Amino acid sequence: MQQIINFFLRSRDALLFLFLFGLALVLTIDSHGYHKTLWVSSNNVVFGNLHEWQSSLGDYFSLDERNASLQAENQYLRQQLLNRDGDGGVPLDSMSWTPDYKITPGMIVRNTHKKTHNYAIINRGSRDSIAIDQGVIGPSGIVGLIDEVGPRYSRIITLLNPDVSWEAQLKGTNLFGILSWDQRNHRVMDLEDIPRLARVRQGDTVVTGQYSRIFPQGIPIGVVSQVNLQEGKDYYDLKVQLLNDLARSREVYVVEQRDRIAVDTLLNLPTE
Amino acid sequence: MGLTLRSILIFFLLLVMQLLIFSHVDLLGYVNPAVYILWIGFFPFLGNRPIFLVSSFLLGWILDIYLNTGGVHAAGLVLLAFARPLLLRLAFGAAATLPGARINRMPTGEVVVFFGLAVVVHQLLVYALSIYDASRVIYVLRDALYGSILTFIIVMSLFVLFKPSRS
Repeated sequence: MQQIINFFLRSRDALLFLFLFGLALVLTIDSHGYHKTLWVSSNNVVFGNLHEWQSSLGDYFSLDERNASLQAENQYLRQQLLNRDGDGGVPLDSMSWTPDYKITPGMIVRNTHKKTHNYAIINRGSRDSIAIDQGVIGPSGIVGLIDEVGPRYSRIITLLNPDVSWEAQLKGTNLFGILSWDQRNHRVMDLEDIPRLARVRQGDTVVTGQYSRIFPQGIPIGVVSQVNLQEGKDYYDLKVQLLNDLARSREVYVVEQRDRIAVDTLLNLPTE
Repeated sequence: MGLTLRSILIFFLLLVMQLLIFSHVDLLGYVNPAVYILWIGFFPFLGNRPIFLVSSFLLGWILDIYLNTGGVHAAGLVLLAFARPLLLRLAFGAAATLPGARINRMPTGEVVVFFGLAVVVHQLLVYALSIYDASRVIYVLRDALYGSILTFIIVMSLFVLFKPSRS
């Protein structure tokens, strides 16, 4: 017994080291497994406020740029308002399926873009009627999807996350594809499943699809930057350059589709 | 100023500097200097080891919570704290074990060796853990190289700036 106690006394430092190092490894592996630490930290009182304070400090240094981007967006909205019957607007025909959208503006207070699975934190939560699965759009295109909601903050799973893929459409056509991130460049995504029958050119605009239950139809995503068609394959491999620089997105809008719950309920009705 | 009070001050000073300034450098978009590793130089050489290990863990872990990195920085700093006797022996020889030995009383050339070794070990571990993907070893090495160069430059500059006079 005495020897065991002596052993522990002698190697006290080494045991303490192993314990602390092991603890750190467990924390690391845990954070890789669930990608939830960004969430934990931002909803923590101390760091949540620190993040917000820091990002508000940073705001002063880029005011000009932000104003320009807001102005550009306002211009886009006005244009859309004036041309509601035209291309890209919401159809006025109420007989067709035109869901009602509610827009909540918010600020991204924390954002990653260089990891393999990227998230952002927005300073709106359940108090602002944010709910899971609502879409998030930025000044020039979609940003992501709400996947966790707290009282004051919510987490966005951004486009730059291989866990989610997005329905996308070539503007002006009825061709749909699946948009996903290749984990390499934070401005470029892959668009697959566009049939080779289509004529796709570099510079074509990619927008959100018609049947998306997250985004309204026709919200811009990016432009086709590379067209690959392999011999013997029926589908294109397209590279899409995102319009939004997700690394610098700050002002965003959460889109709530008011009919979504009703539509989801109908979709999930048990078949007889 | 007592050694304990001085150590506590340095702990918080390093923490605040790292949190507010040096974690936002983002050179090339992602490289940040890890100035908090100055802790392993400034904690008294003959100080209480369990306290040293635990304080190192805490320093790293607070950064991890802030930066959402799990336990990457905690692991890096605890490893350095545990390996410090070896680093000290390699850099300063027997001089480090004399009573009253402090890093600012050591020749600058040997301090360079000490922090050089510490920085490389630390950055390799930190990037290996944070990338954590065997197929991306090349990125680990690249990022650790950039991180080491930047960290070493800033750490040595801060050391020269803040080291108390020899007297």
